Amino acid sequence: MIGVTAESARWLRAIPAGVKLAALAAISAGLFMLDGPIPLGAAFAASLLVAVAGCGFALLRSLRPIAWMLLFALVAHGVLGDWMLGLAVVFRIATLVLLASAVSASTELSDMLAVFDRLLAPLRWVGVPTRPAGIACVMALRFAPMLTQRWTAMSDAWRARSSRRVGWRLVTPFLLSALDDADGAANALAARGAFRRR
Amino acid sequence: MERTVARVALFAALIAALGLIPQIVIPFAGGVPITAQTLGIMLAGLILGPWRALLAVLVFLAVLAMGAPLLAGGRGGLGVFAGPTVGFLIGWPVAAIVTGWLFRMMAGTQGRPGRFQAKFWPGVIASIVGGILALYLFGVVGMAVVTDLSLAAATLAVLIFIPGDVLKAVVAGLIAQQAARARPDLLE
Repeated sequence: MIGVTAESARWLRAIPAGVKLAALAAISAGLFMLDGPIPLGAAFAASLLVAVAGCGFALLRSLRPIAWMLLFALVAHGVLGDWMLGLAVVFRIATLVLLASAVSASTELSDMLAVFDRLLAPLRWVGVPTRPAGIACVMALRFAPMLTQRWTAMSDAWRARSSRRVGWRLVTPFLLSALDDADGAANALAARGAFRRR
Repeated sequence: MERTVARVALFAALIAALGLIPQIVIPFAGGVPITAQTLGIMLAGLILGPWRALLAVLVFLAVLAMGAPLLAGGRGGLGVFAGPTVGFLIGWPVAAIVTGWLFRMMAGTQGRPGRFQAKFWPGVIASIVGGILALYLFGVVGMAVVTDLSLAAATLAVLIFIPGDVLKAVVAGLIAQQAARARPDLLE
């Protein structure tokens, strides 16, 4: 299975996924109540410590995609006359992203699926079947790398035959092949009685 | 039931695959590579219709939150829901509904009930209203909330992406039309 699970310390992995997620939710709510660059800076330092101790320096890469956005927020607040607010905002976002990434990096996808299934339990109690949702998630996980491979194969075929660049024109046959696969998968599900009530 | 689940799962994977593809280059954008993830959202709305498109996007977000690196650039996990662009993620399900609903409203069923015509302009307009207007409404508000910026400043930060998204809406309209021609019973 694919996932963002990375090298992480045993103690962080040993905490049950549900506990980590609940803690993350609580901390996220708490961070939006904190104000000012000093408490939020302290929170950032603490999360940095947890993240590096738990998952190593590789986790800091999770901050890279949002670096420009953070810089923009800082400068925009600064230009509008409140550097301290800008600093607080950047600390808050960076803390949240670091902690959330640490939870993801230290939790197996299968454990996350189990939590997801438990979160859907209230729907089951009122009689909504939740099995299709779980099956759809697992199928999407399986199909995503398959479709990416398919695209690579199709664009290789394009490049072997054309000097022009691969463009959006390839999306239509790609889409059609995916939809045909969906029909095949639907037949397979039906043949196996995936949604028969037990 | 099986058909719905399979198509929803396939489209969730398609949204992911379109984001992972780096080389979709739209030529008249000056060769700027544009990630095709919102193209996937628009196509989901146009082809699956509002409700199944909503389910496809929700499945995609659920899998993303569970830690699959399916966002453009191989990002994933809970971290992306804490960043400044979280508003766009929240806006995706809404964008899918609006796109699908508007397209079904405009495309109409001629003669055979349940058989929508895949016209080009309705597809483009629905994609613009759903995939740009509705989506950016959530995206900008989300960014303003997360970064404490004013709405005007947050709008300024995302303005640069609008032209690319308009191109994606045109491409979505074209692809939906081509796909419906190739599979006449697609838009049931």
